[in-house]
Amino acid sequence: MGFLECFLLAFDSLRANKLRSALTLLGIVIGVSSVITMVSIGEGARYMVSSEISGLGANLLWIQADYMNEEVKKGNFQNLTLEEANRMAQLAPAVAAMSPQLMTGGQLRYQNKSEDISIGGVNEHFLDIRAIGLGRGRFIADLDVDLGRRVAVISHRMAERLFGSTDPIGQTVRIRDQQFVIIGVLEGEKSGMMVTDSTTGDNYVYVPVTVVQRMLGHSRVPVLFAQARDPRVVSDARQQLARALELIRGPNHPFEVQSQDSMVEFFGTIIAVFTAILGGIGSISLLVGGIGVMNIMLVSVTERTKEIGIRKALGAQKGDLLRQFLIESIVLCLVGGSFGIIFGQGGSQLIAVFAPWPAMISLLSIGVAVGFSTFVGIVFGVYPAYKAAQLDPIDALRYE
Amino acid sequence: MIRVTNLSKIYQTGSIEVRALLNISLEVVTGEFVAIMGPSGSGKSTLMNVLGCLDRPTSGCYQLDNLAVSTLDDKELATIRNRKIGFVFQTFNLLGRTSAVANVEVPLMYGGVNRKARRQRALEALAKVGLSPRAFHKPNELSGGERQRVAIARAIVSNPAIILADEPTGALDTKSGTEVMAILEGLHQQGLTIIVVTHDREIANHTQRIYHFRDGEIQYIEEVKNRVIAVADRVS
Repeated sequence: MGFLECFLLAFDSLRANKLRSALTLLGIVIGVSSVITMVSIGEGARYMVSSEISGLGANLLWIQADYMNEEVKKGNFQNLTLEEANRMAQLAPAVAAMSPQLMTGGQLRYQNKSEDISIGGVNEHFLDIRAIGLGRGRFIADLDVDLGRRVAVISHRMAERLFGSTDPIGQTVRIRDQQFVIIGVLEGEKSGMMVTDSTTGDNYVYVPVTVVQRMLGHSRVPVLFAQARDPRVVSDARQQLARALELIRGPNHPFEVQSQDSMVEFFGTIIAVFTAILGGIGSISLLVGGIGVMNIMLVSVTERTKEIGIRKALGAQKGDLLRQFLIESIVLCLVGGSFGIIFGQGGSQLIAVFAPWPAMISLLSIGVAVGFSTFVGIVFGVYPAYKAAQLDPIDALRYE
Repeated sequence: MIRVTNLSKIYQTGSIEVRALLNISLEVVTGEFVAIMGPSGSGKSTLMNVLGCLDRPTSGCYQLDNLAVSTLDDKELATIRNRKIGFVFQTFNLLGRTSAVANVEVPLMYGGVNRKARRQRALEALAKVGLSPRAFHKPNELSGGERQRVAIARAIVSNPAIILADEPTGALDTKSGTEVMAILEGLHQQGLTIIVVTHDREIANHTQRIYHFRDGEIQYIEEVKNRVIAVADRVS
């Protein structure tokens, strides 16, 4: 008996018990769709994190205290000074540009409006390094830094809130009760990055680093950004910066140099574990679905004992019956798997509506789901099919 | 040709030994129409199972057309059932979900005949039992007599050497029973070997020879003198 024959027979007998087949299918549908949905959640999270990280800047590296370090946890360390940062830049030829970021808070006033703001002290390279676009005016220049000019660049949103339709460029505002001139407005929107800081939040105001240094009375830099000359030398730049840190601060310094790659890798590992756990949870429901298939196939074999006897009397070989019942359970699982793919996609899209990531349905997860459901069909179909094949024809014929 | 020599079938149920068949020897030549009669428990069904290759004898020899059946394995027995034996059961034993013609096709399917040839041969077999107009009806849409005729079509579709009919009229009214016997008579006239198991003397009278069974043994063999030849006008 050919395979086509077996498939047709299988469809026939599944059609004969529509409700039962549908309920059994449901188990597989839920199993496969939950595997696909769960894996898609993991993939979506991975996609989001890696795109957020690559959106941080081009060939970006950053140096900050290693928060896993014991001394850092206790606060027994001093951040790098601007002078140390400059020396590092000289020691790392693969680095094209560096910008410190000194941070403080304060209040900004304009006419009768006021905003609580975060003040970022940066230099002229910051915009490039972080790949942030400028909407209007200009960014902080080297002279602004050298001369400690009180100039500020604000976000697009803040410009709208404060100045409405008036051109903000050249307007004077008060920050921490000092006069600043607005020289630039950042481009539109950029999603807030939760990985390192909120540098691009809309209440962030950029001023020359020297101005913040004066406000704080020190020049300790919590975060130092660097840009490699080329995507290919990012890891060279990373090594050079690490070596520079050792030269400047000694071998036991509490800092770490991170690149987007190392960040992606780090989060990738976490997300892979997370995906595996989610996929595992999905697989459990597929397993339960498989047990349902086995259960119903056993019922079906018992119910059709007489049919098996007739087929045997008419010359069916054991192999024919084994194949017939095995293919029946495989068909059950494959049909369930197909619906599972559809519902899994739907589930992923639905979650993407609420979650901050897109629905990522990989062909791999579909392939795995289909392969897995066939596998389930075989594993849970073998025993009932074997039972059918082994029935004694006389007993089977006598069965009522 | 069927030749059975010193055939015994002994079941062991717990500590009790059931001797279903004891040293049976018989010979049915190709083209003969014979009956096996006896009360229930006389061993006639067991003999039927052995002759039908559904069961193996405990001892003795069963030869079917020069094949020593007692030495064959399960797989070969299934092939013999498929090619050489046609079963007709008391309760028809049709597959309920499929049409008459699909039922008739089943032995050919297991015999590896392709779809087209199968359909054609099945329709021919149904024509032989006069059921062409009902070929695409399901068993539950057919009368008892019609169902048994489908079963006969199924039994003859693979051109078997023998037809084994186990109480073929047991579940039928007299008229349908006569029709079925007429079909068997027709097949006999075409040269098929037919063995009917029955406890009904009138049915046995259609055959040429009757083996009377009792307690697993052949009590006596009777040559039928005044054979009843069933004729049913509906059947070609």
